Amino acid sequence: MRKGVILDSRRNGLMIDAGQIALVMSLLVAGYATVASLVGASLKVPQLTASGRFGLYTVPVLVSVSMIGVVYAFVTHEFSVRYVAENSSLSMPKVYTWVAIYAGNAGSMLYLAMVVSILSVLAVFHLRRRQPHAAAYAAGLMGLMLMFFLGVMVFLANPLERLPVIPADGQGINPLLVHFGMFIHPPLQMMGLVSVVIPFSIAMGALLAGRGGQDDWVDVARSWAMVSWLIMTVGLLLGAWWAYTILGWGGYWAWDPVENSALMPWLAMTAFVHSIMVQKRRGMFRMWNMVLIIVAVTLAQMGMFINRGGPVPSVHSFAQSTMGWLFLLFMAFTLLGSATAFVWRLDSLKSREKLDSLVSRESMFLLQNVLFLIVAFVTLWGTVFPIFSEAASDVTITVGRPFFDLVNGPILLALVFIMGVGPLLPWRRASVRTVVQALKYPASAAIVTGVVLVAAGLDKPPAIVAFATFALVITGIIHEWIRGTHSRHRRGDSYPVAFVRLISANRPRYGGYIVHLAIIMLAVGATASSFYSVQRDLVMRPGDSATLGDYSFKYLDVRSTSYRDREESVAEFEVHKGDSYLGIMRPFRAFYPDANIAGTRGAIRSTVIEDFYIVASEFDEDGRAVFRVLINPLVWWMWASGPLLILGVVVALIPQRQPAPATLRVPANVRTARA
Amino acid sequence: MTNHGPMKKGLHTRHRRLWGWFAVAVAVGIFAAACALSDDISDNDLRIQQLNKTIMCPVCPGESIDQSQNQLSAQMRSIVSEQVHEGRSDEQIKAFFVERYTQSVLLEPPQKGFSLLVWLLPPAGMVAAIVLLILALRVMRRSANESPDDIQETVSLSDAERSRYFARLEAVLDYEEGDPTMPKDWNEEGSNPGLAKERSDD
Amino acid sequence: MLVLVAVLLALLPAIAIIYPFVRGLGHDELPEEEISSKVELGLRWDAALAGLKSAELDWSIGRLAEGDYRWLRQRYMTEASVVMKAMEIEEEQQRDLLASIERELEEARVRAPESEDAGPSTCPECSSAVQCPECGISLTAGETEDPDLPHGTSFE
Repeated sequence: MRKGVILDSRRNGLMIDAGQIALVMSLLVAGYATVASLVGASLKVPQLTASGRFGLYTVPVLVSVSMIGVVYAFVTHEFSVRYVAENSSLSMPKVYTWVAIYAGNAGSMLYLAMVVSILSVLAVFHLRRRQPHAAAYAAGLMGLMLMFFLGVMVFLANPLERLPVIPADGQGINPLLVHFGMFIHPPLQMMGLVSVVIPFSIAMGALLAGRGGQDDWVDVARSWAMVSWLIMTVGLLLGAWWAYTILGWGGYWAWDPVENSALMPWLAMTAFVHSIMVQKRRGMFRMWNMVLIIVAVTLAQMGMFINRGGPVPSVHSFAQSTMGWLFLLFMAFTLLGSATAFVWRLDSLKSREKLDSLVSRESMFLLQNVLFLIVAFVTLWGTVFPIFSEAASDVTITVGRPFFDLVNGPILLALVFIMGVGPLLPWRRASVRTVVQALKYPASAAIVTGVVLVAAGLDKPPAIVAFATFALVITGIIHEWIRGTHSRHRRGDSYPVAFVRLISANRPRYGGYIVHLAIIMLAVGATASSFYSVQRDLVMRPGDSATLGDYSFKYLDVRSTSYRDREESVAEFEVHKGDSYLGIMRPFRAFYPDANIAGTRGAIRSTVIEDFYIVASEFDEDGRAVFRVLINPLVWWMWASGPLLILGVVVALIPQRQPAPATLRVPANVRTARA
Repeated sequence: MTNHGPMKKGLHTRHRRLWGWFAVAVAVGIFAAACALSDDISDNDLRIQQLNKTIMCPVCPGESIDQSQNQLSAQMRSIVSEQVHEGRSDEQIKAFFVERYTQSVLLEPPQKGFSLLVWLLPPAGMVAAIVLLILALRVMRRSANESPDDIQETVSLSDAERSRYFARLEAVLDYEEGDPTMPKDWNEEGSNPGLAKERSDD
Repeated sequence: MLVLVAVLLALLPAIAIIYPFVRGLGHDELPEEEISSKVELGLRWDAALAGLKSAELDWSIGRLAEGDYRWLRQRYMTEASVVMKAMEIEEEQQRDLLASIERELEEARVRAPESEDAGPSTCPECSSAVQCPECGISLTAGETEDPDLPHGTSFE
């Protein structure tokens, strides 16, 4: 610790120095919280666990002080702080400070530490009300995670570290980060990955406390798993949306290694939020769920590793560094510890009940889990295979989009199919009659859809099969909603009231349905745009016209403006569809000579039916450029699924209470007095 | 919640069902309209686009030349275009690029040699996983927590008790969450001990 | 100035950490196993009710064949009934236990005046006050701190 620098008495350095001290302090306190919680819990010393927990509660405050110090340094252009010098400049507008904070390693560590500390406090609070023993161990585990992030900062990548010589100006911010989407996507994505730690700590805490088979912690784990899932999903969606609107190739997902590394924990978590329901309802899948959450956290840590400068090259490589390997070590340590704990407490994880039938919702859940893990495995395999190939055969190969589309595509479609069929089956056991009855309408809808699409002239059988599957899922859901509402309506409620009451009386189930509908919207958009988008690359000069499908467009002019750090060109297109005039569209391109990076923004005209998309490449002096023009059907539905998805998760998160006879309430005077 | 069972069918219901099918047809119609776009793209152009999506830009990691916007990609795209118009086949064009930039310029791994492994493992893994799944389900069917503590064994219900309890249950099943008229010997908080109020600190 | 800030920053966690020791908190931290069977029963109850409601909903929508519906309903209602009965048995056992503890204590107290050792004794006339047999000061009857008894138990 460089005491000399910390005790530097410059006035405006006070906040920064305070931030440094707070950082070190938070590491120490987190360390104490970890040790006190774990030791206190295992030796059954309640004051110690309480003390550890209270210590944990102060960590967010300390980390916030550091964060304030960093923000202050950015806002006052304090270039004596290395991180500020590397990620901002005098000409950078203050509002970009938010992005600059997580632009580099040290800052993102601080951000992650803040997220984990706040979520930990909330989760421990929540868990303590249900299962205090598990909460003590969980607090210790969360403290351990915090120690990693804080430790890396204190010893390796200090966001408040000072430079020996103060530069006159900073290096500025990466221009690609300067976009509205970048204000949300990276922090959300990082938050999603790190939030996996919370349900993991809850489950592992329960396991360590010997209460893995007691299931009273399951509700808490489920809620936090859903929160984590929601953050990850929105992060992925926003990333796709940002790629679509900014990167200018007309697509939104390229199976890039960093994208994959964010997808894999999402897949595991999706599996987990479903199978944890089986544990809640039937006391089954205890071992499996524990394995699943360990897999999820391992994949999340791997995601952080690949994100921070892993071995595979990617377009996302903003912050390459050797620090990535620390994450790998952290991941290995967590995995080893979890596996040990799992084996040690294996006995406590025996199932309470047995499976009644292979045809039941329970087995569908397990099938779904297996398929999700297969997709994760295939993604992982494809992402790391180039490394093996190079080591084993000296030939460098690339495993790119065609591989993943071909292999994962069908499995994902199978998952959508199960998403439709699973909820149709009852718990425990379904006879053939039930299956037929439940599948009647959805299956017919699927067949009708397929026939209609073929008759309408669509080719590409995979897309038709996909659409038919989507019809199956939607019909199942809507059919239930209609009949459920109707059944209540007959008992006296008006239709709207009946519908709301229906949802409110079955929140986990109907929240799930809403989420499934959102997923179908996403799938519809993805399928339509993957199979049926129409693209053309055209060389055009001002005055040229061209057509694509029903659209006709005329390139009017291009205007170039020089700014201090960039050269911007905006082209103008007059666009018509058939006979109607649609307006002016302005694809835009900017070039940053200092960073040698070009950024584009496509002009997109989006309707519910399709997107019309124009993107410009480099402009010549006479305004000539290559324009990519695209018609992407049904893409709007992909982005519209976001809000619906959030709504669904919120509905499913609201706890649903069952009435119970008074005898089941824990009497207030039955207390333990033994310490 | 007195259960009327599944709804009886009547003329009313039949009308509603017709509307349902009509809605489905309209929705599907929209999909069809959106997707069945007039294809005024020439076959050659389609081939070019497909090829562009399988060739990687050598200097921008992971991006296809279709995606990437830099100079080199633009040049490579025009080479592809030229060769397609010359009549060369997809394989020939790909081989052309492999010769200049090594195998890694293709985004799709080759289907021979060591790379065959990348293609084989997923289906093999899938088969293995399904087999394991079926085995696991079989095991779950047979085993159970057969401990003598299980209350289903130790607590037996006489017929009279059973009807008494069933009646109690029936009485409360109709009530929904938050219904103030629920009988007094049932409580609203449910059975969750964690929701009881005796936790004093924090 | 910086020293002051550093001290303040250190004080917050320090106070938080020491607080439980100073105030003797912790009786709520790691409660014992007596509650766990109630917890388990409560969970099973919730699961049974949820399953029952699920089956009812599926049935009213027409998604469940009648045979399956009856079978599911029987399973869930039996499970719920068994849980109810188990709870009632536990309640009874608890009451019996409390009652027998009370009886034992009563007996112990009645036997105590016959012992040689100094100890509290009741006034032979009104048998309501407890007094020290040596110096005659009366000791108030009230709450006991005996850890084996549920909190709040008091007796005369």
